[in-house]
Amino acid sequence: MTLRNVYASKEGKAIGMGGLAVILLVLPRLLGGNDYLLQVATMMALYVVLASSLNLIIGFTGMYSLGHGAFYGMGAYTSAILSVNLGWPFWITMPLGGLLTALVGAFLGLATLRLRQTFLVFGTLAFGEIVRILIMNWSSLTRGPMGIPGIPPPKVFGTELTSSTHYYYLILVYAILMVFAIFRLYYSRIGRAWVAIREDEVAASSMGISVFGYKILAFTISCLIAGLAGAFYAHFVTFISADQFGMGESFLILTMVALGGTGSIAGPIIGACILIVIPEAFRFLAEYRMVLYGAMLIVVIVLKPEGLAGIKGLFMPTTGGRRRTTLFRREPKVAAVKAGGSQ
Amino acid sequence: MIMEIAKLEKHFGGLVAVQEVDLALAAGSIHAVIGPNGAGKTTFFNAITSIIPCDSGQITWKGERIEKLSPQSISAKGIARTFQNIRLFAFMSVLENVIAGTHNHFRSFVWGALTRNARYRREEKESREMAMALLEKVGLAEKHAEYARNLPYGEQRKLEIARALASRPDLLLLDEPAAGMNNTETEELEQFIRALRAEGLTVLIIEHDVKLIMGLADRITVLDHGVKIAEGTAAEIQNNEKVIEAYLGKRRV
Repeated sequence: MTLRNVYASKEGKAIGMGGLAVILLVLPRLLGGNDYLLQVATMMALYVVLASSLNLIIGFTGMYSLGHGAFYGMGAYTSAILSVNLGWPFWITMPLGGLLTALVGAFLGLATLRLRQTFLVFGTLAFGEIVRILIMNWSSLTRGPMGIPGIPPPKVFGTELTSSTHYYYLILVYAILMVFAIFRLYYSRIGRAWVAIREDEVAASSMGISVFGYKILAFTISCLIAGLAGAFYAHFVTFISADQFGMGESFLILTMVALGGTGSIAGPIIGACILIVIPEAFRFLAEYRMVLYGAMLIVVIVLKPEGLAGIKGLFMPTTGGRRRTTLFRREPKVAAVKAGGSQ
Repeated sequence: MIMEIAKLEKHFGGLVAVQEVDLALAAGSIHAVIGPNGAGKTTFFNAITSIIPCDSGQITWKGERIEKLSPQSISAKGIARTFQNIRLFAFMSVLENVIAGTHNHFRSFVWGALTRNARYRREEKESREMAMALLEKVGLAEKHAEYARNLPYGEQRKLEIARALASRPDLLLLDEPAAGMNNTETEELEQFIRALRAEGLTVLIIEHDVKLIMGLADRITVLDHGVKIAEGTAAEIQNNEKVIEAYLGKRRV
């Protein structure tokens, strides 16, 4: 039995998952109370969720979004404003942040998802910029460029969660729940419909799948998860400002998905972990680390267009590795969407 | 008549792809549409399934007008199709392709998928069994775990038919199903389509393989330059002057 088949067997999976769970649980201990490292781990968990949620749009359904940072920010700002201005508790503002983001995502989807791919890219890109500019200029609500300081930490059973360890566990639970939810959606009737749309919209609609409806669904769920992540982030860092949710953020999340591999559960997780760790590990390189970053991305795209998750024996079992695809296909994508035939 | 098409028309700019075509489809029959290249056969299919909306004309399916419906609604009415240029879900497994075809028969949604409740589990099991039975039928059962794109051409055609059948249609539209198949495979296909008719399915088929069509079809409609030039049984079509002219050109006198 080779290593990669161990992942595929039931026992192998259980042992792997169990081991991972134990490591994640005792991580604060392992890090010996090092606050900085624990915060890096917390950000990692947060970005795992963000990248996984973007993967719903890009990897599963085959659409593009360059505005994910804006949805993330929308959740953060909603939750922050509600708790700072109105004094509402985190457990109310956090779901509201998610819901508002989902709602806006659904409306944006209604307006843009009928567009062809290229236009959808620009549509979401423009939307992201609109959100950032809105935050910058709507001073009476968002305090504009000054940002929102003093966001209260969440309370659990009357005690405020202030330590890094508390936050780590809080966001870890959220991340695990979200990845689990995405996993279950992916391997269900809904996930099949999404992938069918990604593979061939015309064939999907001829099989009775409502292409537009399922695209909106993917977009909305993705925005909901990103909005919730934003709310968790706001209460974690206690200070937010518009520049944290700009285009750079959207591209960072996109890069995580592309690097790790689209269209799998593990891909975005791997991508997020790597892209959070690398800038921290190479701090001594200062600004040159962006060069490293870019070089790494190019190497992966050229050598392994299906992302790191596609490397056989590393993460991919010989059998059961279903529905993987690449953001950067080597072969041209099949035919234009509207063309039903040549005659 | 299970389906009646009246004066169906489709233009692409100045080009008339389908011009006032009438067609009546008897339930449980095999009806073929033939014609030279560029006759508008595939456009005709695309218009019936709403993939390209028709410009004018009426399509009546079981007494109900359907020409304005979306492709997914037409699928839900019990009309399934295959494509001339194979359109499988390439990066899904063979089994998943067929399961995707069962989409409309199940209802479990986000909540069911997240909780995997009793209904979800029952539906998953049912769709899997349905799909495996269909793969068994077209002889692809042992390849169920492969990516659809890895199948050879002939098997991809078979898989497309299985996927179309997964929606349990009353009418199956086959767009050149024998293209790229060898003689044995074509003969198998003929047997298979006969078996489908025996089960009560109505089949509308576009095909270039005249031998296959002549032996198989109950009725044949001939299109040329978007116009219906003849309709009848195989014997009638074979002796029709206009048809011979369309295929071979005018005899010089």
